[in-house]
Amino acid sequence: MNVSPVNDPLELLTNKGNRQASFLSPIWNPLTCTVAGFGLAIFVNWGFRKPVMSGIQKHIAFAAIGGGAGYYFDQKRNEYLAKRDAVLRHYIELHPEDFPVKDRKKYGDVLESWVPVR
Amino acid sequence: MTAVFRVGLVRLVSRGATAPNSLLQAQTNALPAAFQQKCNISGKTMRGGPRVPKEPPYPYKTKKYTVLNTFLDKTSKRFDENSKVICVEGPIASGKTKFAKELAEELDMQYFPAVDLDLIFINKYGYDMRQLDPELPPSCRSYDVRNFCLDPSHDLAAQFQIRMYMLRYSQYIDALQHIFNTGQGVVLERSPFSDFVFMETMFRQGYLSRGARSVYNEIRSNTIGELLKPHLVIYLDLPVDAVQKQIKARNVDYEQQSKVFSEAYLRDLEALYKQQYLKDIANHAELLIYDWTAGGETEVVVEDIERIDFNQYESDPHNKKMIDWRFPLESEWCEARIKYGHEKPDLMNYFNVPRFDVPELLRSADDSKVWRDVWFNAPGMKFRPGYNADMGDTGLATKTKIGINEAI
Repeated sequence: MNVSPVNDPLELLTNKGNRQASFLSPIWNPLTCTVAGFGLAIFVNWGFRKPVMSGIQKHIAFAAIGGGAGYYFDQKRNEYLAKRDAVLRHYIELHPEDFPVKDRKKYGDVLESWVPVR
Repeated sequence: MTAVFRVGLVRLVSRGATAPNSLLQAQTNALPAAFQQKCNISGKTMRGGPRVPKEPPYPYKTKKYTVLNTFLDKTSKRFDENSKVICVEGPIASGKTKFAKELAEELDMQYFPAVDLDLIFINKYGYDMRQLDPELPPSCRSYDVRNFCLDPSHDLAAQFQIRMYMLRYSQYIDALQHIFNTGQGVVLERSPFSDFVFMETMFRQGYLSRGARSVYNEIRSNTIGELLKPHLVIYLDLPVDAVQKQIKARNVDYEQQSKVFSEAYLRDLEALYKQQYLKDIANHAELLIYDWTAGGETEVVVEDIERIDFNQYESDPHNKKMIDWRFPLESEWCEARIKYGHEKPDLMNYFNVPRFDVPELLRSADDSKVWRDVWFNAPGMKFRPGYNADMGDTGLATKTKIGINEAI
């Protein structure tokens, strides 16, 4: 990834389409919630002193509800993040004077050299 | 102003309990209590036929009764003059079983047999858990009435008597559940109310420690107030020597070999029964006492029962007698019905009294571990009843139901 020589706030908030989603990242939340739903059905059976896999429709239903909930909250989270970025971008566009484009600096340029006083 | 609406609402909601069925009934309700004509408990012979229920009984063994059901199915409508709890009491081998059966038959009531520890030791599939004794540590082995007769000074005698109380309590709840759901009266042999007589006798004879007695009393005071006391107690009275003769005549092997039923034991039992239990219960229930030395006629007792005017206690709300059975509102009838049916496991929870100061009522952790491993690996004990494939339960793949009013 090539780093821009300047620090442009608007550019930071813009999707440049150069980030590749990994295999797991889009399915991680629905998947874990499905597994949790299935596990909950097993736990309930264990707690009621039933064979863990009895009443398989319960496992299917719990897994489906878990998967649906995971997918739903995943979407919710994406929407929330997109909206947050849009709000920030809009604010920056309205107040450009507060967000000047600055040159990138290294810490070495900012920090003063340390002079021990003993 | 709100009072007007409230009164209106109460009338509307409780109309099942108080609404007159007919004009005649409306007039009777308006009359003073003295003019009300209702009949007492009646036997088959007197009625000239079997009891005709006012309403079909609620199938409480196959169907739950919860708050939601109260909107559709009221409770007091099933009650009639025969909807009574009758407890048959008496010393050992006094002929209670035969008498109680005949009484129930004549009055068309449900008979509940005397409890024993088979209810604990024989599981739902008929497997006798007492077979596991050789594998268990001594503190966890079975101890039932037979063991008590042969070895009454054993440490487990205290646990035995507490379990007897628990079973009687559980059975009494079942009896109340029956009466609330069907309106049919019940006849019980002994009751949780009289169980302390045996505990106290055991204590006086030195079979029970002071600590165990204190635990029993604490459990009793924690649980007994939840029940509705019986309407009628029938005591079959036999002098001590007659009891001993009856025990001999009954010829049960462990009773014959037992040293428990000594004169002192039976005298204590009689004294406690008469001076504490009967005295106490007579404040609430009607009491009939018969000399049963040479047996007796059930018909005579039934005639005496038919003469008791249970209605007299309805008019005075402050009368201590039958006070447990006076519910002013229909909703209270329904709540009681839920309490003894759907909420029975909650009532049984009141037995969890944390007392750790009586060694004979405690098990060590190691013993408990062994017990748990053996007990829950016995045939039919691995899973809850109805879920053991190895015992022939089928359809487990899609089964989710558990028994009606079963503890979860």
